[in-house]
Amino acid sequence: MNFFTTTLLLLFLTACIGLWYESQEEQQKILLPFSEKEQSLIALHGPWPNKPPADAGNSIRENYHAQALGEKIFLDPTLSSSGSIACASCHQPDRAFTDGLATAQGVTSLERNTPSLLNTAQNIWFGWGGESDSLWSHNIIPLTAKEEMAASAELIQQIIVNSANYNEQYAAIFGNGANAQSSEQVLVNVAKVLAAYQYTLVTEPSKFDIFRDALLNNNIEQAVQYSLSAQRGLKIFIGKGQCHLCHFGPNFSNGEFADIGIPFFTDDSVDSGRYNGIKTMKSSAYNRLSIYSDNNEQSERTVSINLQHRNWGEFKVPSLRGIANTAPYMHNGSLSTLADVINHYSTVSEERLHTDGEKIVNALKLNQKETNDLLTFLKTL
Amino acid sequence: MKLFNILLSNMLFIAPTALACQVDGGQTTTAGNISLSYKIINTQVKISQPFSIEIKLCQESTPFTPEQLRVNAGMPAHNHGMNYQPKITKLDKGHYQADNFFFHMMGNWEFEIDVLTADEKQSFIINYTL
Repeated sequence: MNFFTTTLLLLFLTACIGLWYESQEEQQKILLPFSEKEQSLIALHGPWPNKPPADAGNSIRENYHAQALGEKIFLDPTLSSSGSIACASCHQPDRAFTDGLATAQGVTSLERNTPSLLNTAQNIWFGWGGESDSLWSHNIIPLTAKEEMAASAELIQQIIVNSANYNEQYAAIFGNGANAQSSEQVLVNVAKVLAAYQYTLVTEPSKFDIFRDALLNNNIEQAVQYSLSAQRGLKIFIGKGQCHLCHFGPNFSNGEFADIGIPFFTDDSVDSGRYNGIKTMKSSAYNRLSIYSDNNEQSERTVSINLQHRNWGEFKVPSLRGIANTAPYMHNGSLSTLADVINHYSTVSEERLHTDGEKIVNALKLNQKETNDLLTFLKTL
Repeated sequence: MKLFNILLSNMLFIAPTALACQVDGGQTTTAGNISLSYKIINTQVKISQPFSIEIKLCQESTPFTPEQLRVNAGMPAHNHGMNYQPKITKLDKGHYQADNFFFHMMGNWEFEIDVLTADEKQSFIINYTL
């Protein structure tokens, strides 16, 4: 064996031994030290499940019969102009209520990624641009938008009336059959039963939640079950990464909007995101101040939202719960994997961000180990 | 005795005036001849949850109504303000409540309160760490 071959073999063996030791280290059950400040921050990202914000505008949200009817309607493709598109066509239950596509496909192709409906009741605003201020009112958009399900209030009323099963359940909930109400009221009520079903879509406590509770209760035996890589990733999340500034709280989202340097150009136009979202919400006939809201309380945000120049190109801060199951990512589905997302934050150019926007995002420049650790952590949510 | 009565009557005059310029349990700051007393009302500030502040304004130790009162908040290190515009309600002369404050992230915020009279504008910056 010559010198060159021997050197290569030695290098290879060294690398193998290094990887073996690293893997042995990773398998050790160790709790990293978390400072008081870190523990305080970790505590704020739970407990889970978390009671969703109240929605006084939908008085049947917690009605069991409404939830059951809402599930049936959610799966029903006849509530579309083509008769072939259901809510579940994009929000697929076995795909974490997404569709796995970069952008959604309704009657036509859309320009935004299908968000998961898991834990959706935790949101304050609904839609990537916050086009709606309540879950129930947001259902009206995909039901009736010509690019999505393209149904009409009249069509929806007709479907409910013509189904003895639907109409009987509808009457039990609302006191009258759909035939005794205006088509507009039926549309609103169908949106509310859908929201009642969506309210039930709640994820179970995650590995992070188990770790969080164990850490705060000083249950070391349980806490060390959380991998070292995930613990290091958590430290990055609340430390160097500052991810918690926006992805905050039990739902890992502050519920607001941000420009993180993802282009807002579409194939043939621009998507102004929050800017147009605010306008849409304020002019909506179904917002929290409307006659269709069962109660106009909890409308402080609707009343006081402030349209600003920096809202242009801002998009909703999504929840990170279950994020490993909802690829691709971003409002336009432009990032295929979670690793791509982390790479985006590692390398983002500040020149891409608004000059008058929030100066929070800057390139993290994570090394490979930090990237892997942050990825491991995100997968535990 | 006469001196005592004079002192006592002065105190009785000053005490209500002082109270009229102080928010109960609040803090006070001054700019020029204007004092601003304030406090966050009834609740611990939480991320993305609404809260209100109570304000009392005095000029030369007397409650007064300015031509305009503007309130807002921002995070100077992050170069952004709030996403919402607070609503001001006048409770009495020089006495206000500002609702619909929402702090949407942790960190150092500044309340920005502008008091405009016919002659001048006084700006108050009050730091708050969430």
